[in-house]
Amino acid sequence: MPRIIKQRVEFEGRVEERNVVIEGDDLPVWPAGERFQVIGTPVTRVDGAQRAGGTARYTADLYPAGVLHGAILRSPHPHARIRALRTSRAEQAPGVRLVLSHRNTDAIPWYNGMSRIFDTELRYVGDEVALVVADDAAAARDALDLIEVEYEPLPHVIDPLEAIRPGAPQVHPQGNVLGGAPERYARGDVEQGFLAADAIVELDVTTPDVLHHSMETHGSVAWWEGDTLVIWDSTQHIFGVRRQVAAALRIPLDRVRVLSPFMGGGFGGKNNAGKHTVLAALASRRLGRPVRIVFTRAEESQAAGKRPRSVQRIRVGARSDGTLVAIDYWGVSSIGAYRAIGTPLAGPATELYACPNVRAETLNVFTHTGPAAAFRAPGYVEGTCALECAIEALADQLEIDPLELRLRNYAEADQVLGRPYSSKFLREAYAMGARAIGWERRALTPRSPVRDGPPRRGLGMATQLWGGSGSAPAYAEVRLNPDGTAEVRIGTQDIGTGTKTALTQIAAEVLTLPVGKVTLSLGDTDFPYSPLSAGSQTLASCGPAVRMAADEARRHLIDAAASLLEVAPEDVRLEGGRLFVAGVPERGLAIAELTGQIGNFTIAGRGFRGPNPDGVTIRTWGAQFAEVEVDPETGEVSVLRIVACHDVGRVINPLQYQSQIHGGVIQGLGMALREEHVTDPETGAVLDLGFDAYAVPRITGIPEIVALAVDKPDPIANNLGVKGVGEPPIIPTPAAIANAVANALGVRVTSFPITPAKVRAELGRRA
Amino acid sequence: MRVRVRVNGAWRTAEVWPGASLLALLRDALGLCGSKNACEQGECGSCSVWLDGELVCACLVLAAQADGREVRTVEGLTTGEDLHPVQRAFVEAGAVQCGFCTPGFVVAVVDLLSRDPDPDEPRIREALSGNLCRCTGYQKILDAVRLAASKLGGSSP
Amino acid sequence: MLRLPPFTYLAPRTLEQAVGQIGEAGPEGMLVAGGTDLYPNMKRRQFEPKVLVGLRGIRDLGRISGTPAQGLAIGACATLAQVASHPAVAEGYRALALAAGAVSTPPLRNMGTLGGNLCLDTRCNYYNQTYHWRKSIGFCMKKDGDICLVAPGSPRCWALSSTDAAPAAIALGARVRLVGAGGERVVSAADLYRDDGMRYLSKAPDEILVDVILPPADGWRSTYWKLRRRGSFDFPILGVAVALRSGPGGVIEDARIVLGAVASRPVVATRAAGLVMGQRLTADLIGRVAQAASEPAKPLDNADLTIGYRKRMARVYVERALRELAGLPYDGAPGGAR
Repeated sequence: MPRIIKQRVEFEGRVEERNVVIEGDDLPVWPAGERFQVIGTPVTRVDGAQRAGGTARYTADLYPAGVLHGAILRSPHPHARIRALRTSRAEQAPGVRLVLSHRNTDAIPWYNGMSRIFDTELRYVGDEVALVVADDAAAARDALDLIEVEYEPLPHVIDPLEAIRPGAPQVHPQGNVLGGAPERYARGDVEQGFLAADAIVELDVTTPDVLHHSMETHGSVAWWEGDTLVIWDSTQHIFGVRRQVAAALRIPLDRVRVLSPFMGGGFGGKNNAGKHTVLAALASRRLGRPVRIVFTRAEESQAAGKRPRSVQRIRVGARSDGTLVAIDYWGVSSIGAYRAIGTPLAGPATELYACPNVRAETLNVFTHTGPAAAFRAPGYVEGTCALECAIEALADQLEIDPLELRLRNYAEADQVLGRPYSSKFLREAYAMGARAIGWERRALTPRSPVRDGPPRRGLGMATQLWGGSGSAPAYAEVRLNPDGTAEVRIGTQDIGTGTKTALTQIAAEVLTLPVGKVTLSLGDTDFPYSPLSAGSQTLASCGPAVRMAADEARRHLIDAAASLLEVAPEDVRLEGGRLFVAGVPERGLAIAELTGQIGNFTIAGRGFRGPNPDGVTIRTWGAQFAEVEVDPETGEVSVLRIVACHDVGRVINPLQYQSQIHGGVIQGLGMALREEHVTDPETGAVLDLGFDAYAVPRITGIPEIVALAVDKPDPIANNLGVKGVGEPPIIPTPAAIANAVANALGVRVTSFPITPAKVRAELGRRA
Repeated sequence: MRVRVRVNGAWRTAEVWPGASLLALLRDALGLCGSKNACEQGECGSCSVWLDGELVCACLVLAAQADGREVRTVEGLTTGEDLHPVQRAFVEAGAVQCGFCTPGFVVAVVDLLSRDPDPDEPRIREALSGNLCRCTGYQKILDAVRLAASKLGGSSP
Repeated sequence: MLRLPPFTYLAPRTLEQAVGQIGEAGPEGMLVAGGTDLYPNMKRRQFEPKVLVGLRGIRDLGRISGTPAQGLAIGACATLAQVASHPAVAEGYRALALAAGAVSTPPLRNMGTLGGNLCLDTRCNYYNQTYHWRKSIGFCMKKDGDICLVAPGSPRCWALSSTDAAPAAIALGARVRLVGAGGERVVSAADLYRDDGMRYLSKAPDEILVDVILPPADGWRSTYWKLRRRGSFDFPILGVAVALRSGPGGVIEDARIVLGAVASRPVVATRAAGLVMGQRLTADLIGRVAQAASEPAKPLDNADLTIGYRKRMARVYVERALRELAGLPYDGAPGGAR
């Protein structure tokens, strides 16, 4: 019986209440020790040939017949009002078909009603002013220069600390702090806690604006087939895009179909429909032709979201034996011009360690800069930089091994929500990681700064805490064909993580078919609903639904076999693609023989994601260890080795698990050492508009990465015992590297990225 | 203007404007979308192709400069359904994630192995330093190059 | 898409044709070889030439001839990849091989040329931006504007010389041959440059850099060290080229130290080089020379990392380069490796 239940669900560091439809009973969890044929094996990408062969079609590769090209005019001012806008010259330019602006476009609400699709008040350099659609992309670009706009520049504020001072220019009428007030959390009595402390460490930590820079830029291609709108979108959520676009255009959901079969990376930057998506649809409706809008790399830098910079202060106090007695945390997240939800900066500080007295205050501050977006573990990467650097500084002060200090403050239960964890194998991750890096080699941090001499090595570590439970709703369909092949349909999207392969493995496992006999299709809203591919939730949300759908098909298969073999269904076994009578293997037949006998129709199964267990917190855990070499004369940091060991439940595909770890670690390394998106405070202009100024890591400076997994199923989280691994690996990397640098030199740089110049400056400052 | 280019062995002609890049010619005019457009500034290697046998970024070559010359793209590496050994190595090593950068990497690796069938790691890193990947962390790309080198057995691809 | 502004592309087959075409195009014309610097700049509309004269079709310009013993002539259109891997360059003119090999990335070294890198446009954080970006900050004097945004009171442009090849060529005593409508002239590589971010070359716009002439390498040893953010791709934050000729007993008979990316032109550290003349290289002397060499480095706040840091690194990199040539232990690595 379908029923609606209320679920308390963690997503991207925040807990929300959600109503979900549950269609029946879930399957029992596959227990630890369950023997698998396909799950847990390193199956290579089922769509690898298309991706490596260059035949995969991404949104950016779509040029439907008659396609027109759109280009967006963006605000040159960080804050301005449009006094006048004239488009006639642009409209008359050769090849131009349409110019859209606030003058001829509905005031479609945008950014949670904070703005509209074309606002007359512009709040960052890059805010959308107009769209030109032309026969070719060059003509569209050229016509941008022919749009005449009179801007009335208004006072602006770029720095979040300036933005919270009285009298600062206002980004929105409601004020510069999201929600009007800081987010606060407290337990125990922090002041009393510090009075009991034998050692106190206080750190000021800043992290930069960081860009996603997916290799495929944002883009949408839209056209109409009769009264149905078809959108190809480079998105992390086809169903979300469908809902947003349908609402914006005021058309029913069943008249919008969104496709994203191949997607060139997202990292959180493509969680929602962009204005360009809706604009492509609007323009296509007016012109009756397909419209393609694909961002340039410069637009990707300017107007496609970012991990917002943070300013943090953390104070931790402990007794001489290392027992934490107080944590006081304060953080500011500079969320740019528009953002509906805050950055959960305080998550690690409030939850990671057992500590009776904790206080946290987080301000999410609007500025006249590009809007923030979720970026691979939003808030937790930044918050972990503060907490884990402070913990290691405290360990150095107390002369306790940093790993030992962490173990002495191991949190056995969720102290924030006051309930147990579904599982926590962090001790195992610590132990495996420490062994692999050779943690016992860690020398004491030098008492005085090492200013010159030969390069020095250092070891550092950090802990990862994150969600990744996944949740309902998610649905899947499985069909078994007469020839013994199977098809799986699910409306999720593979943003590059390998979702398609992992889900195929689950279906193949249940049906005991080889992976090659199972074809999984995704990236189409004609398929059953699936959630946003974010929050490390895809596998843990969709996987259990696929298992259940395959299981239903399997039950039908067994029932059919039972009647054919003239035994009870309980006595039929399915192994290796063969159905047979238990104990009498020779009395049986292959799946294809059975399906062949029952005619040209398919055996179908449907599955859904069951609810998360009540009364527990589901978390992923992990530890990373970094070994660095620092040249004290140049301040140059070379990362030699990173060992990452994470507890994300059962690992479905070890190859893809490793890939996620590697990719997360290198993004973390980039943020630790080089990546910084710079906005000029005077003009509000972005200084890095491509891969030249913005230093995405290249293959030359890449360390060895050892990716280890605890690989124990969560006993209750979902029927697979899996959790997500998308975000966890980036979380501890910057802090682990920073701690290793401190261990090498005896000075601590807490302003990320740790550039050579900052290292030298820090050494000089203490001279 | 009209340009005539030999692409993967076949002469193709197209009408382009004088400032059109070779990449635009391949993608927009000839429908060869394996070479990806990710920066248009020669900064990421996603559009790597061969022009008269030299590895270049197609986004910084004018279509006009390619007139009368030989271009080989990632599509030219596949024979029918069969992937090139380097492409297979990328799949087998797990070096393909979102895959948007992969064709460019594949071309750069084929180029490297044709010049140096058994490159050491610094050489591999140097040869691939023009290609950006945001997903893999490059570890498995290094694995793929070593795997491809062994598949090809040191013989020129 | 990023769009090139409209232009006509000419592909001369001979130098004479090219000289004629660039002369005829006048101020509207520009020369292009590999295009790896020009086309991105054109996409940002730092240049909007109406006529481009492409030099890659002129066969003679790609030649490398001679020997280290006699001296070498490298055609301006030899690619950076060719220069970096040419045995004669590596043997006699190592600084140039290292510098060419440290430019950008392999595909761009296959496209980019030695002449192109020597004539590389100067760079600045306020200049190497898109048209719309520069427009939003009111343009700078190097293109479309009136003032220098790095030093607003300054009458001149402070964009940085960012060529890797030039410091090496100057340290090696190279000369360059220029051909224009008025004939041919040969100038020292050092004299090719002017201390002005806008008019950074002494070459007339219609003169074509034809080849780079390297003197006999006899007795010279050289190196090039490059500081950049990552181990590839990036333009130099600092380049250090050092060439030494030693006589019997290791006494230095001649020395040149040249710094790149610290000013609008390569900076020759004459006083520092003078300190080693007639001396044997010792760790102590090297320390003093490095200090002296870093004095003329006056970086401004228009590139990566801080001014103070870049200035300090000039000393560290000169010291390391000299230690390398002296056979003393050193940290780091020559070229652009990291």
